[in-house]
Amino acid sequence: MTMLSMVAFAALITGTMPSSPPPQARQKVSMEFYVVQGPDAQKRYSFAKNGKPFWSWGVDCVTTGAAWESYDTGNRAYAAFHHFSNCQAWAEDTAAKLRAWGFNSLGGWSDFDLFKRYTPDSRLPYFEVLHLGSYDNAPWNDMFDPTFKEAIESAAKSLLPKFVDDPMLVGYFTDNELGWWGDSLFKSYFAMPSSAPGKVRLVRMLRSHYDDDFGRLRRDWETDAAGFDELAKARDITLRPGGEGAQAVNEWLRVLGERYYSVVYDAIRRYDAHHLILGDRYIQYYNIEIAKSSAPYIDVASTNLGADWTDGAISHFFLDTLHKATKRPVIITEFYMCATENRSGNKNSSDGFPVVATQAERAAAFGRYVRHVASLPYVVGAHWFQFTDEPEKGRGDGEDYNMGLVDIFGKPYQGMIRASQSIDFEGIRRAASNPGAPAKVSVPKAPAEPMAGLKAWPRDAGFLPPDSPFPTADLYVAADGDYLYLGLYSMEYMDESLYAGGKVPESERSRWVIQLGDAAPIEIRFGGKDRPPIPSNASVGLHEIPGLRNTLIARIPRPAGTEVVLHSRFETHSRGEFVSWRMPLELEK
Amino acid sequence: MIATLCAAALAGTTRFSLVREAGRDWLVTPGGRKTFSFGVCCVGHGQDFPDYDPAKPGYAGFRYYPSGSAWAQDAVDRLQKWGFNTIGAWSDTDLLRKPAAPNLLFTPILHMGSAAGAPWRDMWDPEIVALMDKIAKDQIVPLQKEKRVVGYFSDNEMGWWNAAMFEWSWKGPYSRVRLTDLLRRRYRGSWAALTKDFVPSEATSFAGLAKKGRVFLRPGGNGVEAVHAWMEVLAERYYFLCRSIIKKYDPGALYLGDRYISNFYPEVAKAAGKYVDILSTNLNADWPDGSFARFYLPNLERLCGKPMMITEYYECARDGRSGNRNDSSGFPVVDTQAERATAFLAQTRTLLETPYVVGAHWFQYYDEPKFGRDDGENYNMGLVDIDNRPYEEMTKASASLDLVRKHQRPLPALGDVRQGVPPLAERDLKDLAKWPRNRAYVPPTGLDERADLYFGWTPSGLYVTVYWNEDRFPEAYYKDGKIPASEHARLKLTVNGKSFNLDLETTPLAIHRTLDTRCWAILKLAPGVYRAGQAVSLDANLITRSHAYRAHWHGKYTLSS
Repeated sequence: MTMLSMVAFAALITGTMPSSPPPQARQKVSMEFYVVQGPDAQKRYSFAKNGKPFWSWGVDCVTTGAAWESYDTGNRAYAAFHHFSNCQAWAEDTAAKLRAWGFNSLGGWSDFDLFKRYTPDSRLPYFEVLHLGSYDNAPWNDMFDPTFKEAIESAAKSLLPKFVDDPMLVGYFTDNELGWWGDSLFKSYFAMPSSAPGKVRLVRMLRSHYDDDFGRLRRDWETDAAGFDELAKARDITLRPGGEGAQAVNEWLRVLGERYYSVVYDAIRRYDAHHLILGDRYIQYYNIEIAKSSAPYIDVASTNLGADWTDGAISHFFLDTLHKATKRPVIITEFYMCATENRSGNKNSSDGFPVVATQAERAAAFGRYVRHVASLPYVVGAHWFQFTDEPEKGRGDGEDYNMGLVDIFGKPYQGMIRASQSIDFEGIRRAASNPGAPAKVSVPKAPAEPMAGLKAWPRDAGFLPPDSPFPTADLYVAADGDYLYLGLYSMEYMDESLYAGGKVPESERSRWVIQLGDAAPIEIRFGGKDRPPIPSNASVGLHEIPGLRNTLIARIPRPAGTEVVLHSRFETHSRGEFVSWRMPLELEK
Repeated sequence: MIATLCAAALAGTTRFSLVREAGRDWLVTPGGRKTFSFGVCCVGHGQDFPDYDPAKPGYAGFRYYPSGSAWAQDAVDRLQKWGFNTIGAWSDTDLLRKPAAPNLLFTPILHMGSAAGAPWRDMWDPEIVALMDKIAKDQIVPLQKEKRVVGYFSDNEMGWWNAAMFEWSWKGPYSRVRLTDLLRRRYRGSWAALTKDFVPSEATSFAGLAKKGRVFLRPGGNGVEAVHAWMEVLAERYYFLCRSIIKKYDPGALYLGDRYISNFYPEVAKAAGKYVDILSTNLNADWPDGSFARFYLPNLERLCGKPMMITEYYECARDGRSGNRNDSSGFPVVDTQAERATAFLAQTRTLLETPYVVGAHWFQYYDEPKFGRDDGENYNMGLVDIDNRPYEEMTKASASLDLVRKHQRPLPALGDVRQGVPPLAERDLKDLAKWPRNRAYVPPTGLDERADLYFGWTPSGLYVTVYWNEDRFPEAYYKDGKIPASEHARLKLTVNGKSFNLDLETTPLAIHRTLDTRCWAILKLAPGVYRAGQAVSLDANLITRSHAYRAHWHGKYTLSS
């Protein structure tokens, strides 16, 4: 469906279309899923089909599990053939369970073929992950080489005929967790030979970015090249500290994003004119420039997103900014919650996914997460990852998490099931929310150990709304008798390799400025993995938990008085992105 | 270069080889041990869980074993316990390689021709050749280090159907030019000479024929000889390609041929003999007791001159436990598992005792699905039923064979009419299966026949049965798509001075007639009064359809009691 017809269908739902659309159009409506915005005050988005809105509550990887042929009795895993005499019995049982547990769709990588074959009446719409980019190693191979477009088109040609007429398909994810990493993408294209179409495009971008003025480029970049022609032949370049080269990197990412999203869009639309195009499932991180560049070519933005805290809460900025940057509704394509207490023997041993102690805590956090995202007007669905626990000793890549609704023996985790069943999606979607930014914030009481991390903080009461249109950070406030605490929770990928020596120099590291009333501004330079953060004022205490999500907590002697205006500004490394806050704070006596 | 040569020489000593000793062919293991490859086809795990339909039950490993490796371990253990030593074609090689079984042999099939369209599509087209190469490479490379692989079959039951192949040869640009060239040379450039044997269509000269049109056989002409010459060219091309590609990716592997469909063409078998290490043929017994037409193996061996491997043989019983109907096509069927095991044992013994046979592969590990395969084939062919229970009569029979000792035994003489023409029971006259075929067998005068002749008597008549092979799709030879009566198979007979010239496809003298690729006609000749001790002279000339092949028998025999 094109964006234009989406608008038309939205109008149809809200009742402004002529009363009898042409018969052909009506038939189309009955076949396909599309996106609508509701008539309510918040203009809630949802999928819809046949005029009926549909909020997708799905499960990823609903599969028969381990293959019998390769089953390893030394590493037990979910295997439908151990529990069912045949696949039809499995499909019937599983579809009935998912329905009874409150789910209404099959997320990525599910055995939808089997459900279609054996339970055609289960009416579980599904989503397909095409992995189109993987047919030419996108975005790493030269995406401007004509062979890239050919490879993607030929992949679409072979993949799509199976889906094109399927009314149970909601739409396509074009890929999963592509590596949109700024430094590597800039460097790998720069390292291509001068004749490579990708290098030609990069040099053209740099010429235009610097208005053909090589002197200006030299202010931002360190290179032996004497001009743009030599630059085309050079294989390496590094950012000059103090320069604004990060803006050129951002522009390059927009160019790459535009290329990827337009090519996959064209390829899909060539073989399927209607099904929704649902983005490429970001890896719990997105680059704003990439997200912006996707906007014209997607119907819905997608991201994988675990809870930021193990109570199931997530940051404010992540989904808000993704929605604003893409101007599209958002679907959460994976989220996770694991417990140490599990029946599959999962050790949950790498990091990157939230882990709690008990199944009760797990179920509570899971419920909180879903209720929250369902309340966001622009979120059109959430897909739990995944149907079963991972194998007891881990998958091939070592991942060994208690991620299942059922354990490896096929037995459901009842707490999770009850949590899913108890969610009143319609009620949540009807409720008014979004009260808008407050005029001032009453500073809540800090927890016992405020410097330990933000999990124990009163994050709802202490949230400070940003002033910026595309924030990449949340700011929280709390106080006790002696100190005011500010917690900055930001998303940032460190483009270390763009600098000589492979490290972002101190002068270029992320920076956070705090000004309380008329007091002198406090400037904080982030540390990172192996260095402590540095405050400009020795009275300020700092604790940093670095990563793609960075927590930085500042302890500042409590200002005098009961009201103080906070000005704050966060700059990502190399001044790539900016977020600012301005908010009067009310302090209890 | 020297390093390559050494490596190749070394590889040769670590792989299987062939040896002929005291008139017997043997397969020799890498360890230098003489062996006979006694194998089973389709040692697979059957249906997969996602596809298993309880309403159409079939063998499915996941129903009996917790994992693929548990299945493989049991399959390997069982087969070895039952006396087999070879995993035949279409087996789950990847799984079956895992259990420790150093004496197990593997003979995978590549389908390198048929999957690329050969020999039907143009085998001189570089794209077809590249495809054959890729198909073989993708399968051989992962097995290069597996020294238990004896070698590879290039294909199975390829359609070497002469008339159809001749038709297809006009569809490829490279094969067309070669075929035209062959005809031009054969007819010494004379289009007029060509048109005595062929009916041209859309061509009026050799130059035109190289670009467009084709020729059909002219009824009454002798064009079929040119067709046979062309078949030899096609077959040479096919076997040359297969051998060179297989040896390119695994120089130590033997080339095991392409598994004939219980039927062979002399030109093709002759060409194969130049390229294969072992000639393979599937062998569907001609009669339910498991016996074969007498001409088949000896003549095939004479044509190719290579050791042979029987790559499928069969025996089914009506009392199988899988509910098979055993009726979709012509495989041998008996009533009970006891009879089945007897016939299986008889076939296996015959093959073991045949001096030039180096292997016999039973078809197959498990019974076909209760309601048949997708192609309708529905037979009790398994060593185990669809519930994985062994047929103990069969497994006891297979376990009873001492392969090496048996392969040293001479083939017992089967007898023939020279020891006396057997009398026939009135009630069995029309049923060749019940004839005393060994006693009734008439030895031919030549060596290359594709036919058997049987001769028997009753007090009121003499009976001759001719049993022969025909081409499939022979109508493709003719412009109007029909076989003219003048081109029917014929038998010219003289019995005791009385001559017959019979159209085998229509003669009213036939009291039974089956026309297919396997044909037989039972003829009642010379009614009269006969008694034991009478001498009868017999001269018979068979000319198969389109004058394609001939056979001759001549002798004077005494009716016996």
